Amino acid sequence: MTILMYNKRWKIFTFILLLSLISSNVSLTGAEEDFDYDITYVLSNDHIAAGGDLAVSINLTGRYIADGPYSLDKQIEAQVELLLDGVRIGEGTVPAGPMEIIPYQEITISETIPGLVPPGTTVGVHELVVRSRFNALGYNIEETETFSIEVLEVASSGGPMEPYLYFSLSPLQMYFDSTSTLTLRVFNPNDSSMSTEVSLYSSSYGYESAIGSYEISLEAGGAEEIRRTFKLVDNDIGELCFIARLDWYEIDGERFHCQCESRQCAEILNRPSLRPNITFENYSDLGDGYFIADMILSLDNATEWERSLIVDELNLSIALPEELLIVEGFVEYHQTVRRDLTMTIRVKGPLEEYYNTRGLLEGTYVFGDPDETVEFTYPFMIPSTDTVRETLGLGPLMDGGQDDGSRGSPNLGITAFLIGGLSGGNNMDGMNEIFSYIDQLFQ
Amino acid sequence: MDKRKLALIIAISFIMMILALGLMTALGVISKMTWIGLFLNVFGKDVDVEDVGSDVVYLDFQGLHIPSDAWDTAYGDDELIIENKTATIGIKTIEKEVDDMDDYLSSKASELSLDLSSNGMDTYVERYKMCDEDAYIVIAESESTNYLIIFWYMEERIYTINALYDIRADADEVIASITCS
Repeated sequence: MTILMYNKRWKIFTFILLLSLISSNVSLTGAEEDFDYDITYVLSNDHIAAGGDLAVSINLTGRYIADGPYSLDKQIEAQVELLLDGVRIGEGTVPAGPMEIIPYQEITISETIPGLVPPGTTVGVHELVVRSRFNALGYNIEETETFSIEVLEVASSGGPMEPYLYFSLSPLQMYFDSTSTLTLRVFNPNDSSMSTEVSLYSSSYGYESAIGSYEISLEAGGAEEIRRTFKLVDNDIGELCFIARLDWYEIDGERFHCQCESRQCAEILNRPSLRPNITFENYSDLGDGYFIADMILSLDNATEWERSLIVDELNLSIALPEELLIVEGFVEYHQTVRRDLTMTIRVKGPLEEYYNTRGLLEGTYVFGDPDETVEFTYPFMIPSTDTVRETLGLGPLMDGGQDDGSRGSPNLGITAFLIGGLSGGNNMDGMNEIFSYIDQLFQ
Repeated sequence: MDKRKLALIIAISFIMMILALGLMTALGVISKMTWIGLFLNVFGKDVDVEDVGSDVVYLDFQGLHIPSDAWDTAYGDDELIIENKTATIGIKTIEKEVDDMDDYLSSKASELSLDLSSNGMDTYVERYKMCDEDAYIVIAESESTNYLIIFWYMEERIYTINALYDIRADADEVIASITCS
């Protein structure tokens, strides 16, 4: 069931993510339930000399709304074309994944697609269409965004122009063990072909290390993409940038020197978010009208990036109904935490007496520099007496009959009605029951 | 072909066509609205429409306005019940003073959701807006019953709109009609 649910989520997310990538005005019912996003297209300039260059930036910021993370295992791409009066003047791809998609974590994907206005373009207003296509996973989607640009007179030739470097990291946010895709797009703004060599480096705290070097040949107005996917394996890193450098380029056999450099830094995430989970296991009948069980408390790194966190101080307290006693474990807990935390607390409870089925875990944790304190409250259900008895092979508690709503969870009246259904019932009476419950809930 | 035969064929064809069109209309292949549209187009006459106006009688309830003559209602000072087709909607307000209302409402949403889910209902919680105030909506579903509650804080009162429904649209029809003073 879980797999099916995640498959569905994955499909929905992937669909919306890529649709978002390639659409500026998409409107999907329910899209916000899975991927809350905003997308913009930005044209670099709308007055361009014939023979000049332009670029369109596609910027997406969004958040995945779900209970758990999802791993997008392979890279998928949207193809983007720039069409001036229907003629292609630039193209590129926008990658998504592979990446771990973390609920509620902001994702930023930004790519810039350059293009060259042909030298022979007539002066006046022209239509520039950004056409985005995605064809994978059973979807074949095409979206367009239209701009008006004014083409000016042919710019006077000022000699060969240096190649342009467009750098992007998708997603921009990185955390320990996460993957992001680096794209370097080298663009030749000249009306002659060009060759060059570009070197990539990573940089952290001023220390650079080479990633690779690439020889590139570019047609007039052409662009070449270099794409690498990186995983962040250092959990103490707080700064990470990528640098592309280009020292020379050749046009028509003539070599020109340049100090061309582009830099793209990752946004390193380090905010922790511990998520508690409590389960009950290993029930045993003590034989004196009591049972004993393990209450397993775990503070899960539900998201991988949280493994990079160091919680300087964790304070926990557990409140149980008075009938339930802690016989081994803690009621108050204070400790520094560096990884997932799992604790077993032995609890003892009555088998012959009903008790309130709710407990409360409250806590704070401190992290970061300067300190930041996060408070959390986690109400959790304790198995009812009858559930415990059933687990132990005992019959339901007969004393006092079945639950009358006055014990256990205070909402049994409302849920009995709700679960019982509307058919044959009087909804006015049902609503009065709900009103009683609402009184209890908010008083 | 003499003129009498030709006229007879035309007349029979016309009658057959009328019968065929009548049969297609009866079978629902051609809708009545199509005929109305056709006649309006052919004869080009404006159609007189009756202006039903917008005079809706509202029931004022604790600062909320509810169209009162649309549905069956029963109410007291702090409670109002409305029935609309498959839905029963109960509005209840509770006087309350709370310091951190956002935290309070959030915890109540969690508490209610936990209560309902622990008793076998599928639940989910969403943020909402009512009367320009931050609100929560808790939706719970079981095999036989659907329940939702919207609650928010306004003028030192907790406002709750509770809906039991078979068809969500029946509840939404009422909820969407509620306006604020």
